[in-house]
Amino acid sequence: MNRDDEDLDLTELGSLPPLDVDPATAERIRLRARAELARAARPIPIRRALHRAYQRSELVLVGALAASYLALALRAALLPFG
Amino acid sequence: MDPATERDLVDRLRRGDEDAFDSVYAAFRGPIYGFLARLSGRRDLAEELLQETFVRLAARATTLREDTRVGAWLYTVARNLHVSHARMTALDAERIDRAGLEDPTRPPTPFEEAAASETQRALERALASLPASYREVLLLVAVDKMEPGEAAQVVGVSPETLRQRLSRARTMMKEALAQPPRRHAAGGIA
Repeated sequence: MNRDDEDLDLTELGSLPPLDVDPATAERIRLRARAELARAARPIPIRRALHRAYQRSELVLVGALAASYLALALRAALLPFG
Repeated sequence: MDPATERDLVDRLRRGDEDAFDSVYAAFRGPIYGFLARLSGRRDLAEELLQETFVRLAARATTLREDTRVGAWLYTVARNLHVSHARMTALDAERIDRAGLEDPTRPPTPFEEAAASETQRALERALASLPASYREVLLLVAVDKMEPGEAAQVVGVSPETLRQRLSRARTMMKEALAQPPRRHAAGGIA
């Protein structure tokens, strides 16, 4: 197949008529999606924001506690040799 | 859509701007629907997937990256939804395509009926007869005029793979167009 043949195919395909949904369906989909956008863009309520912050900080706090306990235990174990 | 307009729309979408969403919807509703309808061969499924595509855009609008190409993003979501649907219903797209080719009683699709000329009907028939992986690259590059690099991202393949697939798809289209039209049970041209 030469280059002209390939280009001709693409040109022909580009001439296919555009398709679209009927206006009632288009409006129904738009409203459904807009409702989702409004929900997504809504500010996060304070309780949910606090809960999320707590969840994110939980691991850090537990990790810090474990590390400090380990340090204390190590210090106590090394004390007789010091 | 020019890059500056697209960046502006993405910027406004990230702030939850409803007018920006409407602009994107108006610009891409038809092309995405056409892509899905020709990919699936079904208007009802295309409508369902179109809605899901734009609902996903709405749900993720505020978390879009600044450099998001919204057109490519929509095509990618639409294509992935179609792939998921095909898998979920356990219908191998290639098997469907083969069934469509081998069934001489297959009635014309709504797109064939809507096509204005016999040439367009023949093109729709030939397009519908291609395996989905080849049909989608032709739809993106030839029908929706997407840059091959962007189409490769949508399909999730390398630019070289896309180029090969496109070349093969063109050959298959020519072969399909060369075949004489088949008649369906009602006696009309299928």
